[in-house]
Amino acid sequence: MNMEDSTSVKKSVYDPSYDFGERELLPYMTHPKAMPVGISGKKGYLRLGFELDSDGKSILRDWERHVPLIVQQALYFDETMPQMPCVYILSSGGPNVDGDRFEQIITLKKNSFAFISTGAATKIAQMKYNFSAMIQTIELEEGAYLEFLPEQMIPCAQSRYFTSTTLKVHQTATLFYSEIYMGGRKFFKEGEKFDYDLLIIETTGERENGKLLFKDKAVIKPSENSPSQIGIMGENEIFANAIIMTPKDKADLIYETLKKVVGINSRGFLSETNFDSSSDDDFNDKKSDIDFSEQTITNEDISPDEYVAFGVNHLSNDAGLMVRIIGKNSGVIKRSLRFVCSQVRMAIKGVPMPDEFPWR
Amino acid sequence: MNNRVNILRLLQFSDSAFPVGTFSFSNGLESASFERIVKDAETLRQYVHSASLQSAFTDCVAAKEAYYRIKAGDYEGLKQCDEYVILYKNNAEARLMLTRMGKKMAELSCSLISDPLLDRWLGDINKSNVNGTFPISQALAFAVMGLDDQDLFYSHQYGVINMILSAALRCVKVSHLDTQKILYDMEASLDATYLKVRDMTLANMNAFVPELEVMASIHETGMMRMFMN
Repeated sequence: MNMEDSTSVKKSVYDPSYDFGERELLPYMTHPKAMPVGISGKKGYLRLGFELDSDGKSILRDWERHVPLIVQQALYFDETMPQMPCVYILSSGGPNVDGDRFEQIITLKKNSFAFISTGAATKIAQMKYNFSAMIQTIELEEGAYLEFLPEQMIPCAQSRYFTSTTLKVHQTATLFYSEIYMGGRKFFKEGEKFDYDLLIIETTGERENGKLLFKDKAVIKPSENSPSQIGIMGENEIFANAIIMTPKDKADLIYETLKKVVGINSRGFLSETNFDSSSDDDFNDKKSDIDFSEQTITNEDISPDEYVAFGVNHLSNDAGLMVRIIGKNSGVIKRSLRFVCSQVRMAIKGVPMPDEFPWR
Repeated sequence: MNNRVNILRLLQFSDSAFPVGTFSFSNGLESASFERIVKDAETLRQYVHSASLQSAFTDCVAAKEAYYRIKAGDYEGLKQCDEYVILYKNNAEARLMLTRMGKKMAELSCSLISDPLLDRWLGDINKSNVNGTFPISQALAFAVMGLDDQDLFYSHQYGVINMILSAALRCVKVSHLDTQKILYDMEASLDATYLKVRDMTLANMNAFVPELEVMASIHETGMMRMFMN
């Protein structure tokens, strides 16, 4: 793709002097000496367009990609939704480095559905001069359904990362959008924990007509305010968000399910006991349809390192739900997110998610 | 109006006894206490500081922006600030708290001060034309009384900190001496926060308090509810 032919919005993002409007980024505007901002190899672009074909099959109809962002062909490996295209986004350049500017645009046309993840965790490498940025737009038309469940982000020491995501979702469509941020490279040398310089994570929810539904923005600058403070992360080092944009009746149904597991795992987060103690008939009816044996975390599984705190709240303007998870172990957090996504799939498509591949 | 009257007005509108309903809320402290996350004066201090930063970089920014739009006669801009307060609250009970307190603040202000802008605001709240959130109703009252945006910031922060500390006396093992010490120390840190808030716009609003939000969720779905979130 010829980047110079892109729209003015795309050009501006890749322009070295583009103003992201964040004063926290101002100290990091110096160009990297080796590969300046905006040159080939540092501006990744990916556009994925899903739609139904003439036989009603959901397909990845068209895509554009510009390295280092690449994407494999859509595969149909999901056991409970074998008709769903599954796509992994990869970065051929390895970690995000100083001065990277990425843009991703994902569109699902009417009634299409898809699953998107990343091939592996994404490291945000140590930086000397500039920062790395990702601008994302995910747009779902009427009746569309997307599960966006990438692997975790790992901000290394002295890294800076800005990401802004716009979720444009029709009122009849359903989006499960998740993200996981580690505290750093846990097993590198003595272990990193909030040694990065800056993380800015911004998400905006909109309707297709541009009506604002909610905003969520985290500006994390550990040198100014410790994330380990109680009320922020406490003793935890990993946080995950799941945004579920779905019609209100579905959101209420999913909320009733998820609120059963709200809490701290030391009392049995996602345990069989937790479910069995439920007196909610509707929930128990649904529960009988789901095989929790492989998806749940029982008290016996939990070590002090596997502490996880789980909360779910209603987004403003009936946009859906926001799930917050904090913990110390990425495996437990990933399983928790997958559990949430499975409840969404149950509510919308009537089937749970299959087990995750053992190598993931 | 002389300076002493201004100080008295500031005290009156910042007082925890000012009847806007702050005594009903704990910002999830009840759950944090039950979960043993907040268990003594030090953990309470950190919790209150997190909540104070959350409100500073969201509600106080919207209030400050609203204050300047009121001064510029920009009523539509004022409504936008009110909308932004809601957009950044990803918790139903927090939104309920802010709109209930906002309406109370507007009603009280109208009963104390005769001003067409306050009347218009309360009228729009009653007709559901606006959300009528607390920070914006507070900004209106302060602008109309002739208090400045710095007064507004300190009053709002005092309210948030004092709200949680008052709740702490009922659900955390701390004494009045502990809570007053936390309040006294935190007052001194507000200058630095104000300097950041002063330069922020609606586009810069942000909050990163996942543990507080989990506590709010536990509280909202739980059985122990001496306070609202």
